[in-house]
Amino acid sequence: MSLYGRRPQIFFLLPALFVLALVMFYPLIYVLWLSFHRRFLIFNVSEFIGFGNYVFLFLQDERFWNALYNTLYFTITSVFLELVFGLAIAVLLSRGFRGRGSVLSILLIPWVVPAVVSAKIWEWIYNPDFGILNFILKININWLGDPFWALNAAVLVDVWKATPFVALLLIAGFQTIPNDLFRAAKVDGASSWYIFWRITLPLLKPTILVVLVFRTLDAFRVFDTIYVLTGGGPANTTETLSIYTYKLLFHTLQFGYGSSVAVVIFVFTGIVTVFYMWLLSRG
Amino acid sequence: MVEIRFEGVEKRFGSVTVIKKLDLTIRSREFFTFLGPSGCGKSTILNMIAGLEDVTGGTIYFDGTPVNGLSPAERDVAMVFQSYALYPHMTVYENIAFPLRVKKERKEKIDEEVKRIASLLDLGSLLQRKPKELSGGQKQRVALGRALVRKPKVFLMDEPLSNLDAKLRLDMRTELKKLHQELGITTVYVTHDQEEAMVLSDRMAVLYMGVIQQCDIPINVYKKPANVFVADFIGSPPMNFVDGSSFRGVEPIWSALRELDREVVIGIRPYDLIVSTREYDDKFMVLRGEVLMVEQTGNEIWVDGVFKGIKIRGRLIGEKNPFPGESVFFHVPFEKLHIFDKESGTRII
Repeated sequence: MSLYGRRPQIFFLLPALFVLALVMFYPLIYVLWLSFHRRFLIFNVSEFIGFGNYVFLFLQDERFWNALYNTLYFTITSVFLELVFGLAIAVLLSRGFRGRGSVLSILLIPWVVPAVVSAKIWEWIYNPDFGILNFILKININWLGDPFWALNAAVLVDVWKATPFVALLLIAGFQTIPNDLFRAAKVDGASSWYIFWRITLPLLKPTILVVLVFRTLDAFRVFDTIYVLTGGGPANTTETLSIYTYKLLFHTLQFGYGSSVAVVIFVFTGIVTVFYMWLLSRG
Repeated sequence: MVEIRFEGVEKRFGSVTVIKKLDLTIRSREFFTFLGPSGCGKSTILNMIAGLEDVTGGTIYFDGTPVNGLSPAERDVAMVFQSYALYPHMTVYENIAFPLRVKKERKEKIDEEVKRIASLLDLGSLLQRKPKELSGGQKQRVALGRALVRKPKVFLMDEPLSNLDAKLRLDMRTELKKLHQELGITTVYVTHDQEEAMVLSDRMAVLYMGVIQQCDIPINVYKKPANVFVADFIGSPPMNFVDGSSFRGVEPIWSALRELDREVVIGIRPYDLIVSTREYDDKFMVLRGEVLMVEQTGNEIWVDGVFKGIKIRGRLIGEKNPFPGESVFFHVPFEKLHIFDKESGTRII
């Protein structure tokens, strides 16, 4: 018998498992634990209240529902637009032409720029007095200060930033479709539209699902872009769940209640992930 | 059915000319094959007939009507690809129905036609399967079915059998021949396999470097190859080539060659070159050589030897295998000699 028993390989996994436990499982469980407490640091209050936070959250907290609505609106519109534009770009770039490589590289720039930096750039683009957007459109709209425009402006920044990533993945997906299929469909008499809907799109489905997993989860947890652009304003019209959680936790130090919102985000992203995984495994 | 005519057809990709001035008529109902090594331009010709590639010069006519500007759909051709190109997300039924659905045929009509094709190609039990659940031969038949279902004017096949294993290839070859006889659709077939071309074609064109080297019925291509390339490409094992000057002193051929008064290359098929340890009478031209190796292929015994420093291969009939190094006589009847001009490579006799 060896020192480690019959399965020594398990011992090689232990260090990694320990680190993971420390940085992932412990905080997760601790947040869950915190969410069952009323805990205000400034008033030195800390008591166990069971599901009290969740009851308040779902039944009385309008700001939570507002943040959830904003998050869903942001997620659905931005992911939808990114997919549409990404697909269009992928279709265009999937044909070989001179300079395709350079076009692709240039296209990727928004994706490479850090979110905070791009948000700062767009903050200036949107500036009502000195911004280039108003200058070009020859109008005077306070993009980030107007309750209607602010969230849509944030969506635009996200679409601008993430579309190249979507396009890149879809181009990779395109390359897995044998060219003979398109040639066969052409000879069979199909129009370009027909080929797109009946051949290209169905065969891109697995790639599209992967794109959706990435983008939905990213958009649902959006923080930096919006926080830099508007900080959640005006009048909370751009406040998403992440921003609301951040404010609860680190502006007002409500560790118990803030944690319960964080748990809701966790559960929600978990559900979305499981749903997509199920779709993917179905083929 | 349709006659396809090429008039000075040319294809260039940038500065590279793939097809040079092609003039050819493929007759109605004909099974016509383009045969050639890879890269000779045969698939390009097929793509130009299909409309998948534009011609860069000249005109292609279907029954006298120019089709240069027409899309593949408007030309009403069907094509079978080497990769089969079945739509992987559709069932066999949907694959075969695809060309009809594109044409927005009635549902009942589509169903009827798919069933007809399925029974013709013996696919009835596979209709609900996806391509990945099929064997190579079954995929091949589905691809044929998809091409046949809308009764095209022209049937194009791009190396359709080359992904099948040897036995299946023979079966499918017979099947193709039978289908063509039953349906009588003008068929243009592309292959690098000479045997396929010989067996299937009514007429064939041997293509090399974008130029047709010879266009004739298969037996003529075999018996009277137009030049050294065709002679070398057609026939297995490949033809022996011996420089005319090597026959100095071999009579009566040497006197005959001197009368021609030009430099020649003589081609002899190994099948026509009989090996024996004794010398035959004077109806044969006799080459005296040494045995290098004996190869037994089952029904034939091939003898590799050397004649005046040139490797030649002959056939052994009814004699004991000679030993390597043994001196033997290679006999060939005079009428089986192929004589080519040395410089241009074209056939003289």
